[in-house]
Amino acid sequence: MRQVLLVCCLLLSFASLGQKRGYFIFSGTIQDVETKAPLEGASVLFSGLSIGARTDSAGHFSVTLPSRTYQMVFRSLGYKFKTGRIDLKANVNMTVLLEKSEQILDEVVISAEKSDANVNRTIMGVEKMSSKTLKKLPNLMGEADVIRSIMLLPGVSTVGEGASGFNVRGGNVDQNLVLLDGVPLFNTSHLFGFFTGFNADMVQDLSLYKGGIPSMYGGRASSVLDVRVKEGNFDKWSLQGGVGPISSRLLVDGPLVKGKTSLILGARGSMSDFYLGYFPNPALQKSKADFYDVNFKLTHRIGENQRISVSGYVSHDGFKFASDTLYSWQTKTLSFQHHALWRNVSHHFTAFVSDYAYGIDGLKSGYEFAWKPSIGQKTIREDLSLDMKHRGRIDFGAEFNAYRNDAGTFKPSSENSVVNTFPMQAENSREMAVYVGHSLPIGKRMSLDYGLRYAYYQLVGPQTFYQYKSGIPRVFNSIVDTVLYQSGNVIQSYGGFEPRLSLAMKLDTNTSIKLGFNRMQQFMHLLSNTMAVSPVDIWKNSNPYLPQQVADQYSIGLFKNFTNAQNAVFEASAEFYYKRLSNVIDYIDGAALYLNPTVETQLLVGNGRAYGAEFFLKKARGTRLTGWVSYTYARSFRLIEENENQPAANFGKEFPANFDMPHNFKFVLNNRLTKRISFNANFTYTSGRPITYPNARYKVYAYNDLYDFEYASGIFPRAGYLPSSYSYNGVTYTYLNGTTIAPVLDGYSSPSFTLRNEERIPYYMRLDVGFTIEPKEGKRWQGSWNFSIYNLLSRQNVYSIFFRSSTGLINQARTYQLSVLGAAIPSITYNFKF
Amino acid sequence: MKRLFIFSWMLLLMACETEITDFKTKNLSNAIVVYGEMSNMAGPYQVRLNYTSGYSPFDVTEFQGQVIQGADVRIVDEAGAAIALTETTKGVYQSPASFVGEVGKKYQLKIMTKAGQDIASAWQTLSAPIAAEGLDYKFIPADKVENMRFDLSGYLSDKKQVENYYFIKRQDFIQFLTTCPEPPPPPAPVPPCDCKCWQAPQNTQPILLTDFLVDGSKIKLPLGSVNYRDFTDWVVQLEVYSVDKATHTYWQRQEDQRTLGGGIFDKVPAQIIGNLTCLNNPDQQVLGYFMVAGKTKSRLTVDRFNGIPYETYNMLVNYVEFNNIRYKKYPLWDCRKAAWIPYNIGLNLPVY
Repeated sequence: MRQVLLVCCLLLSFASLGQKRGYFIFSGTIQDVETKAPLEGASVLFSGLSIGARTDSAGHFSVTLPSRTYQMVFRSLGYKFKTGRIDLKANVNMTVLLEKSEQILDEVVISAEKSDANVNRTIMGVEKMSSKTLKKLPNLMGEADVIRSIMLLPGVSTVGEGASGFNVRGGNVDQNLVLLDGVPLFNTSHLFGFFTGFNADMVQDLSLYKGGIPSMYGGRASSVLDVRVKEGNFDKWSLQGGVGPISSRLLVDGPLVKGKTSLILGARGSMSDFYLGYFPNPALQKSKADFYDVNFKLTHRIGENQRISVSGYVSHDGFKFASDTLYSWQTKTLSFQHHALWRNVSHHFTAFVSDYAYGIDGLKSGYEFAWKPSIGQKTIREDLSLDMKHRGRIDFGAEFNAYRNDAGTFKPSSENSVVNTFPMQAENSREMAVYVGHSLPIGKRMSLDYGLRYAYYQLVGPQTFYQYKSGIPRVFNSIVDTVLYQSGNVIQSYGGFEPRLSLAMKLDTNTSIKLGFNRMQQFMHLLSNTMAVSPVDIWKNSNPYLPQQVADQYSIGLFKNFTNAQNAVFEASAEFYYKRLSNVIDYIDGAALYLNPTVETQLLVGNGRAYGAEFFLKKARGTRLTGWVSYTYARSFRLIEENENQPAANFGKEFPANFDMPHNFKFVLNNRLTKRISFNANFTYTSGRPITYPNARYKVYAYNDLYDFEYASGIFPRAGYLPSSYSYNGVTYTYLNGTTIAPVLDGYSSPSFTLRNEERIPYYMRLDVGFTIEPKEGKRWQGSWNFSIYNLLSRQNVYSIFFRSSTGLINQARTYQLSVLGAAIPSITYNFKF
Repeated sequence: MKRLFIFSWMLLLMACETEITDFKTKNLSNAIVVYGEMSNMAGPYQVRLNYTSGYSPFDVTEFQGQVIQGADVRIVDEAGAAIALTETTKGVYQSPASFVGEVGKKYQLKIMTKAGQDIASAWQTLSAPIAAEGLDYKFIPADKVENMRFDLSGYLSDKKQVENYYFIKRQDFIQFLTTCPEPPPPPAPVPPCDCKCWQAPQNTQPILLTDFLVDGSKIKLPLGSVNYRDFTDWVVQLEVYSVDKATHTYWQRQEDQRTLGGGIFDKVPAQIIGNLTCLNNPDQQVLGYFMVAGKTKSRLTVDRFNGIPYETYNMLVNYVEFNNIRYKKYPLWDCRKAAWIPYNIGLNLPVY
């Protein structure tokens, strides 16, 4: 508690630094001249000053300046710049309207940032992508897709095609904090992982923090993907949508009260159930693979400097493949946000509730059941930003989260069902955090971002908790006591400081060196011992047996920009990182994680480390050709050692993580062939992921009774006949030839495995291409076409190599390989807007 | 447009599984493989000892690892009594026929190899046996003989309030008919013709059941069906073992390993360790299992001749003739000599 108070005092002392005489606040809003839509990421530059201002998602900016006269330039990508002059003698607030540029624009492939932002900003390991870029990348079946798009960035990988989630710099899938308009998502997948769970049309932009994570973020150990949703148009209504092979989309936005209140509503749904009925295959006809998602955001302006918004998101998936089992998962969120700008203080309040439910329905007659675990989250948070002129900016805030993690009671779902009810407990927990961060320019060449976050976690009753015999590894029959905690009683608490530090040093106007360190803590964990995480994998709260995961990341980077004779801008960077992971979760061999009240007996806790180098060269701007090329060398290891509570994994030796893929090469190209037609392509090469190969095989002779009896009775061996044949003059003659009847004893043939992840599956390589035909300008109905071919090379990339045990006469354990999407997949998508 | 969409979906759902026949790996294991069973039914009980073999899927000459001979193998009970097993054939150790397990007693397998490896199993309690009940069958007619079948049924009456786990071996015995040769011309005597024998195709796949979520109910046995390709008898033999959770988990992991599809939701492969350890060398891996369980054995005879409608029977007769079910090309006086029938065990069912 004392630590919390200290942090609060620190926050207050920083807040008092904002006042000083002789300075005035210059604030305002930058909007599109036609639609009055706020322009995010627009910049305001002042003569004689090295600092400027940048607009937030509401188009606001605010900067405190010394009193004098300034020449100003307002710039935003895709708009004509505007200049102005101001004599600052008092606080000023103004609205700036920018006009769209009519000439062919330079393309910016990644991010809506200024082209020198990568050199100038203090933090590193951050990637930003605009909605425009998202739509220009060729993708599976023409679906613009957030998660698939960020996988084209260095340092981001996945265990395989169609796998849910992504891995960042050697972290597990559950170590990524994915925020949709500030609300964390526990599942980001549709169709198990082939597609992202939210509609790319709704996305304003996204930021992926791989390192240099600001102190306002916490709760996951490895990375943050902050996806911001668009606001509706305050001036006029528009409708846009698209028809694709996987899903169809519709988005409507416009003013409810002109200039005051806007609404944006987007919906997307798959039509797979309709198509599956047309397959000649009965198994597919009985299958189900539907999904939908709906987003909305209602925004109301209060004066010039305030706005409130209410937004919601619903996502649903149902999947059944010709069986009696239906898998489903759905997310519902509802959030309220208040944003205001007062003098030099920006305030952002967020409150939300979310519910993530997943599970399985058994549909077999007589055995109908339902199992529906869920996670409910209620959060309030306040984020404040204080502009301190030359002394930079201070961000500080606090958040409180309450979770109810229900492991899901298994129960019969029909009167005739014979299955029993199997109760599972719900876990209740609280997570609180306060943070402060200071962005500080140090002279003309250096800048520092430092911050501190303190997170505190409590697991509280009601809950029944098992205690195990000490000194031996926990097993289901070593329970020595059962403790009942009443509602609100604290079962376990964890907490800790999370320092964040980024230092940038400019060598010249186009070159900088950056250093960074950040610590992250995670109190909720996804339990998954499958190759890729499954949508019905369970989440588990930290408890006495499962401490919080902690990740410490150290990084250093060199950033340099070039400009050629045609004014094209190239951005180059080399980043190196080392990450140390504590309390990572692993599993005993063959762990049973579902419906297991003693699931802690299946879990192991250990450490990990990851390191790597990311090299990135991007042609950020150019009249025709833009794109990037990246190479990443990344390693990730785990070490699970034996202790008094658990056995070791992999004989206590360090082993590569399942997603350790050292070499990673990515190439993204966007070429505008004409004003309306553009060609795009991306190429990906990654090393194969680790795999455990068998080093022997063996037979379990559990079926020898008959064999032994027949031999003991003298029935085997005995004389008999086998058919034989010979050919003579073109005629085949058959006859019976003498032989001995002596069957071979057969058993259950199994592969024998030893060291974990010692080998690798073959490398992964894929080339996707696509064409986009943009609509003609000036037409009310704007239709565009997207043609793409996913996996143009038709390469059957190996998803896995696996080893089956085998039964039957002299059968052996056998080896197979599996390829997912082993063909070129063409698609056409039509998008419209009016 | 609809066809295009359907085509796209087909592509999306298209996953390609192929067998790798030239798979190479480092064959470095020296693990010992032990398998033994004992129950409340009369012995002798056997324990087999061997090493793992190289991982070469189609090398049938090496499908059984090198056997371990000359080991001292004993079964001990909780009172300290030890029964020595004698090596009857290479690597096969057998208990005295008089030794029978007792329900409720704990047993342990102890092995000392000639190389000095001291191997022991965990203590296993011989649980109370449970018998299959309600074994029955029902003829299911169809338009084609190929689709006609006898659906089998049966269940276990699960004891309530305790966790029960079952391991079931199924062995089918199928009667088959061969064709006798033409008799020699008179006055030579007509030799006797034995044309009805039993085939016992070895089934090495266990049936695993548990009362998890269906505690205290009649647990249906997944027996499937037998075909109607001939009108001879078909006997289904079930050996029901009442096992503990650890034994069930061991076999369940073996079954998971056998049925995995390499998909994205398969468990990460790992060694399946049973209940045996090497006491004096923890680095020596011991695979396999020593299973102690209460056991019952029952047989269901499916009569595929009586009670079949006349028209259906006639369809079968034509089917048998057309498909040469009686092996007319290879006439024999004695069906026991038909070596082309896998596991041809002769004229009688085993009585073990």
